[in-house]
Amino acid sequence: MGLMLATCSADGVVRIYEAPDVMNLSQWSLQHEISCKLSCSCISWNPSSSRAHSPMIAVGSDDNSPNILAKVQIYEYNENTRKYAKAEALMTVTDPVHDIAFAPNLGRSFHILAVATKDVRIFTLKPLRKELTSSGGLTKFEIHIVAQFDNHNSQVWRVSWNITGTVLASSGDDGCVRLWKANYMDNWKCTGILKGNGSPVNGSSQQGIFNASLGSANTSLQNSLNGSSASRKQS
Amino acid sequence: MSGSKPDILWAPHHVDRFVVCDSELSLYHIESAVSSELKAGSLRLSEETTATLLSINSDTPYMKCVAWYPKYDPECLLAVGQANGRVVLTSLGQDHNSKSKDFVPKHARQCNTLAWNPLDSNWLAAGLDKHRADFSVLIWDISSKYAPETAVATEKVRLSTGDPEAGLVVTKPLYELGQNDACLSLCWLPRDQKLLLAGMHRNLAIFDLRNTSQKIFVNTKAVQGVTVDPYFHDRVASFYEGQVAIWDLRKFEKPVLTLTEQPKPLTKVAWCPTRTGLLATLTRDSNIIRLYDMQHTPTPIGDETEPTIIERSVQPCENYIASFAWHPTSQNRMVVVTPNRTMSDFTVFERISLAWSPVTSLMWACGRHLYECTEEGKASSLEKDIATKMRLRALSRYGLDTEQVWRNHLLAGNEDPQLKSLWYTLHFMKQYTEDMDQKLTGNKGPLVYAGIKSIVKSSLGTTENLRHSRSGSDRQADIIQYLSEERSLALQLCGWIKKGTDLDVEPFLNSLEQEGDWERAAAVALFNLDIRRAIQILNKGASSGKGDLNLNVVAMALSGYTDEKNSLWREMCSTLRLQLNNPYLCAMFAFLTSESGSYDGVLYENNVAVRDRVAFACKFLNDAQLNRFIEKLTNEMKDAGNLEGILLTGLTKDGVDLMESYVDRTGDVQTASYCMLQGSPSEVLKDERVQYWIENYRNLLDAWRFWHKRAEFDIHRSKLDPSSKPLAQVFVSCNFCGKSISYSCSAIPHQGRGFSQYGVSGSPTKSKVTSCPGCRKPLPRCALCLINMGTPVSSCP
Repeated sequence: MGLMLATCSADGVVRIYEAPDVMNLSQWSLQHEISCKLSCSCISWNPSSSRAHSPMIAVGSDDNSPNILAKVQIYEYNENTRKYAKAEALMTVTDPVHDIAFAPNLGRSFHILAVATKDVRIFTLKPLRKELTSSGGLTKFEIHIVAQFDNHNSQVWRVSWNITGTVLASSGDDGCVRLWKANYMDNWKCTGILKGNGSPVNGSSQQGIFNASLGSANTSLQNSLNGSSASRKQS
Repeated sequence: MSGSKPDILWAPHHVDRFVVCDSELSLYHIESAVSSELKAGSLRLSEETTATLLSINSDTPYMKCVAWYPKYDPECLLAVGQANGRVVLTSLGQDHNSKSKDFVPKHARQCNTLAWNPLDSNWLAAGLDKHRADFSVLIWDISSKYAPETAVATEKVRLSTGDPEAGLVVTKPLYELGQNDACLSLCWLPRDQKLLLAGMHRNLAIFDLRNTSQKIFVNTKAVQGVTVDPYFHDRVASFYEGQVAIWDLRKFEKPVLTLTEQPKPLTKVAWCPTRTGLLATLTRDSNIIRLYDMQHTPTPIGDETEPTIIERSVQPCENYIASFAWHPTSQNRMVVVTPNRTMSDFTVFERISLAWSPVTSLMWACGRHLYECTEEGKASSLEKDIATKMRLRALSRYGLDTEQVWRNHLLAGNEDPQLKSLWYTLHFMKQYTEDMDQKLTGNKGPLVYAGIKSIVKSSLGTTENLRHSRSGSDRQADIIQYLSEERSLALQLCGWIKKGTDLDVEPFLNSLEQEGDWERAAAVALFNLDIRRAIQILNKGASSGKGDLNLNVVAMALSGYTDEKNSLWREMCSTLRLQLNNPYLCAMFAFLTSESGSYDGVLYENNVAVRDRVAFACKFLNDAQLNRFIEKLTNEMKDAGNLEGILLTGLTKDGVDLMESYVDRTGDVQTASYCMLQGSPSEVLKDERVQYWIENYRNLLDAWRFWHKRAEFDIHRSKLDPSSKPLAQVFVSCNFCGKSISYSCSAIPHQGRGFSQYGVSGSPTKSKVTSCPGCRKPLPRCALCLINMGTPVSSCP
């Protein structure tokens, strides 16, 4: 898609900048302004590079006013109007959203979106085929929530996908990093818990496959710690 | 600290000590204890820490407030404010017996707050309740020599050296401030050691000790718990009931910010000493501590800009919290104490941000540390993530073996039966096309990659029936086998028979025997109506090294086969077969006990490989049944994204559909790309999805920095799909005019006198470049072979 940069701000405006010239990165011109009407907290491009999918952005809001509004909105570029327009809103997400992440698409026929709110949620968005969508040009999606975990027992701050979009890492207020993975039946499960300081969580032996592998990762982790202690910054 | 509610204080310099005070002062020593057992007399504060009680001081009753001496030495010196307004200096620990020093106000009233001057540590400010027109803020000089009753001991002012005489009493304060008022909270301003901020009855006041007649004040109700942000000296927090007000001393007229009001009154507000802009608040009767993160708003100036604050709450323990104290140096750590004096050590976690690297290692930032965690592949029994699998497979040249196509599943690690089936299918397809090419009868060529489904469709009406008996029995039975050219082609693709139409499965059986796949071999033998061979295979299997002795039993059961419809054998076999664990053994008995023409027990035994079921169907089902079965199975495979189904769909649009659901399920674009390339040249490669998979796989290789692997893939791809050949990226240019020689060769049509003029002939066989087509200058020659530089490699002799 080229050098596109999207920003979102607390005043509820998403701005998309583009550097038209690769050789001149000091110039970024404002291409689009989308008003979301909600204080935005996070934004994620859909990484799909397929020509079948138009450019897409998901915006999350941490607005904690009591009005029940969808806190995740999805905007899609419309070739005809040359503007971004709201394609979907995840109506089920009404709590403040702290982070949002599209999984790398990797040739799947659907998109996966992770949402960090008071719990971890994973949605799939399957674009309905063009002939089924309305003539407005916007893609319609079939949205499913495939997983919802409150294991953090608190606010979830960050979510991040691995390169294939098969493992999700999340961090929460409990100071733990958790890993989530789907099995062949598309059932998502927690496959590893680590405390923020890298030590494995006690009594998590019931957790499945990643635990052992991450347990053995602790050695390399210690090494990296020792390496970094010299350059530790005091703020 | 009111009534018997305990309060808690960390020693400012001795970071392993803290004091809990309610009716007495208890000094604790905190230490890390990794082991689970507790030492005698120590309390567990958290999973890692325990506390030991060092000493108890109950000399000072009616305590209202406590403040710890801010300098390193003497350690454990505390100022205690009492209900009668007296301020007592007392110490804990080793020099416990050193006598205390009392500071007595003129009129007795409750002492609300105490504050040591952080710089001039002899100054101790005490805030008192109102008493008529008396002063409410008294600043005592603890080194004060003026002590009326004990004039003799005036030279003994050092505190660490225990004064011999009992109870030094000081009655004359250094400064008296806040006349006719009450003082609820105090703190010294770090801006200047002579500035004191006091929460008075109805206002906040800044007293300047250099000129005590002047004070700056602002009327507010939020006068309790004034405290200065240790990282931003102009920022002050105070509270009133459930509301916290944040003040900027440079713009003191009104609070820059008030935090959302809590339903219950606040009891404590404290800035985190190890992190900027983090304020912890506690309300009465609550078990959560609310944190306000104001990190990004160092200058909240201007009327309209409300700084953004991230609000969090943490729950250190189940019980209500009486008080908490930040650890002075340890990051974001605090100890909380409950009304019944249970304590817990607790660390507030920063919001951890995290990111994956392409090679499946996870990095996160927690506090001031960075952690990296990698997936270790040494425990091979654990299912690795597909990202790791694909990376390892890319390294092992998976997909690039175009000669022995089936070997690719070995390169993939030989662990996935679906991949094995897929690559065998592709192998048989390739083999067949090659045979066809040799025979030059390519009429079936395009069919092969179209899968068995289309082959079977095309075979309608060409089938001949053969009646056979299950050999080994004496009677002529009515097993009908179907034969046609297409069906035998299907059998070839299933791998049962080799080329041609001779229906000899012997080589296939031998290879199965070699692999030790006895049950499958026996089943295949039986399906080819050779019971004797099946029994022989089972015997061999039972006697082989790690064979299963049960196979002998199965062989025995098999040998008792009878055609009798109502025989005991038949009855027993059809019921007991369901208890067999091996799907092939199960299918064998299902076949033997089935009625002719209805083989559901075999066809829908889902654990039997698809290729065997399809081969079986091709042998024993009539055209209509076969078509139905194949159709059904294909749809099943497509829905499940099962790669074994490629055998049926081939590399057609159906195959792409199947592969799509496989990719949806697994994310394995690598297999998808290689598999679809195998079918070329064909229409499937033009499918948008296939191109997208290939594109994604190339991006993956790039992300892993496998530049060479990506180049290999591109070469592989351009071999199989010439349309994807990348444009030339290297050109030979003329030294003189700078134009590309090869470019000119191809792009400039014969102009004027034509290419022969420049030594370039039109035909590729004789194409020789001796001079630059652009400027006609002769091209340099190689010193050895005298060929002109710039001659295409293909035309070199």
